[in-house]
Amino acid sequence: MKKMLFFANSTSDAALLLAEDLIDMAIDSDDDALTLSFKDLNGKLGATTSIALTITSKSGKEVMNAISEEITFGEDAMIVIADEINSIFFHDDITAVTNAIVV
Amino acid sequence: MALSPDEKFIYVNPDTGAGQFRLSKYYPVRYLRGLECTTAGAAKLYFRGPLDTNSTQVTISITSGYIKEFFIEFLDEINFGENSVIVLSDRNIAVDATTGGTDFQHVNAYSAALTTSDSLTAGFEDVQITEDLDIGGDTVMSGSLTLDSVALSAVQTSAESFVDNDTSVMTSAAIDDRINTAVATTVGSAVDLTSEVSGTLPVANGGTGLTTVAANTILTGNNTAALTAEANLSFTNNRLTVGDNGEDIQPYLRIMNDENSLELGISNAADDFVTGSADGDIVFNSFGDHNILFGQNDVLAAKIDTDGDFNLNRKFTVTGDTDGTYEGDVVYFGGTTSMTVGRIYHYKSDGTWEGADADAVATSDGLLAVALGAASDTNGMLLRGMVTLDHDPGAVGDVLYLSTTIGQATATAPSGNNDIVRVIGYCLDASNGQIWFNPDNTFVEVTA
Repeated sequence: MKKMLFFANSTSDAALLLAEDLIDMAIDSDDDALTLSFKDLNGKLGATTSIALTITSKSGKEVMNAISEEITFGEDAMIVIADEINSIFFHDDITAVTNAIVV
Repeated sequence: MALSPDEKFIYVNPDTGAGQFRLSKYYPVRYLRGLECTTAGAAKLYFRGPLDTNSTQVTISITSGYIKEFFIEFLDEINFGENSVIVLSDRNIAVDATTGGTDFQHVNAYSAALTTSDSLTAGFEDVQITEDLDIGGDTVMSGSLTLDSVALSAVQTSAESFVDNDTSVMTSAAIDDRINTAVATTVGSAVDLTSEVSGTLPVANGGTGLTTVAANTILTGNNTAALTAEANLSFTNNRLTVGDNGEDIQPYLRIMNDENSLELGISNAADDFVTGSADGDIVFNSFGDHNILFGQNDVLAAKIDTDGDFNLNRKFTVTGDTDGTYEGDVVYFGGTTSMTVGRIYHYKSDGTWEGADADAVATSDGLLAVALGAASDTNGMLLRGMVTLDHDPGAVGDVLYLSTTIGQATATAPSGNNDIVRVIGYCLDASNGQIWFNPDNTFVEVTA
C-alpha cells in the first residue's frame, strides 16, 4: 500500500506527499516546531520539500514517534497530519501547519 | 489478487477531438512524487521527470474546495482500485462530458503536462542542484555558461586575435598578451599629457599640483603640497618685482649668510627696517659686524664701515662749457630766486643769498657759493667743487680771488682801500669759466 501524508493550510494550500519519500523529521531550537522533509517534488538534486508544523512545546519526540508508528503500522493509506480546513490534526500536540505549498 | 500501486498507470488525454489522443500520456504510479494544491480549484501531480533529473508536473482542474476529497479518492484508487490504468482525465470533460471521462468525482479538466525547468533543448534536460557540485572528472560544455545573467559562450586564447565582446572569457596567456599590447601602446610611446591625462600632476610626481598660474607669477615650494603662486613676486621681461603697486605691504629683498644679512626694501611705516624710516622710504639695511663696500670695476669706491661711517673716494673732472655745470658739494636753502647761473653769492645774516662783492667785508666774508640755477632751494648752491662760471676769470692755473665786480672771480687780487682779498679757487680753463671753487676761510682787508 502506498501511504501518503496530507497537509492542508486552506483549500488553496494543501499537499499530499509520499511517506516513503520522507527523509527526516526535525525539531527546531525553540522546541515548538517540527519540520518534515521529503524528497524534492521537482526532483532537484540536494533539495528537499519541507513542511513545518507548529507543535506544543517539548512534544516533538512524542509527535515524531506517533507519525513513524502510523507510517509503519497504520492501516490507512492517507495519513492526515494537519488539516486546518477541518481542524483535524494527527496528534493533539500538532496545532497548525504554517504553509503546505511547497513548490 | 489485488494489484500493487506501483503496477498501475495514470492516464491523461488533453485532446478535445472526438476519438483523438494527441499529447496523451501514461504516467507510472511508481514514479509519483506527490500532489499539491496551490489554488482552490486545481491540483498538481508530480512525477519523476523523463530523465530523472526533475519532475513532470500535471495540473488538473477540480471542483473548488474539494481538494481533500480528491486526495482521498485518488489515494484510494491507486491503492485499492481494481484497474491497472487510472483515468485521471480523458479529454476536456468540461467541453464534452459524455465522450470523455474520469475515474474521479471532482476532476473537471486536465492541463498539458509540464516538465519543470526544462531547457527545452532536444536530448537534454535541466539538472537543478541546490548544493555544491564537486566534479572529479572533466567538465565539457557545448552550451553557454551564465553568470550574473551574462551568458559566456567562448574562451579567447593567446593564439586568437582579441575580440571585444561580453560573451567571452580569456585565458591567462591571452590576458598577458593583451596587457603587454596595451602597455606597449600606452606607455612605450610618448604620452600626450593634454589628451591622455586628466587632473593635475602632483609635486611628488614632478608636477606643480596647479591647474592654472597667473601670468608672470613666480612659483615657490610648499613641501609636498601644490606649489604656491606668489601674489607679490613676479617677473616681466627684464624686471623682477617684489610687491605690487596695489598692495600696502613692506616689500624687501633679503640676502644673507651665516654672519650677515642685507635688506633692500621700501618702508611701509615709521621705523621699518631702521629707526627713523618713514612710509615710502627706500632702505638699504645691513645686519652684522662687517663693512658695506661699493666697488667699481673691482675697485673699492666707497665703504660704510662697522661704525656706520661712510667713506668714499670722490673723483672730480673739469666741467663742461655750460654755465653752472658742476661736481661737488651742493646745499639747497636760502629761499632766494632770480639768481644768475654761474655767479658767486654771499650768504647774508637774514638767511638769503646776495651777489658776493669784494668791495666790502659785509658782502664777502662768511659762506660763499656758486648759483646752479635761478632758485637756491630748487637748483642748489655749490659750496665746493668743480663748476663752470658765467664769466672767464683768468688763465689756467691762476689763483682766483673774489672780484669787486658783483658775483665774479678774478685772477687779480683787489687792491682798493677796504677791498677784501679772499682766495675762492683756481682757474682750470683759459676762456670758458671752468674753475675749482674752494673759498678760503680767511680773507685780508686792504688798506691803501
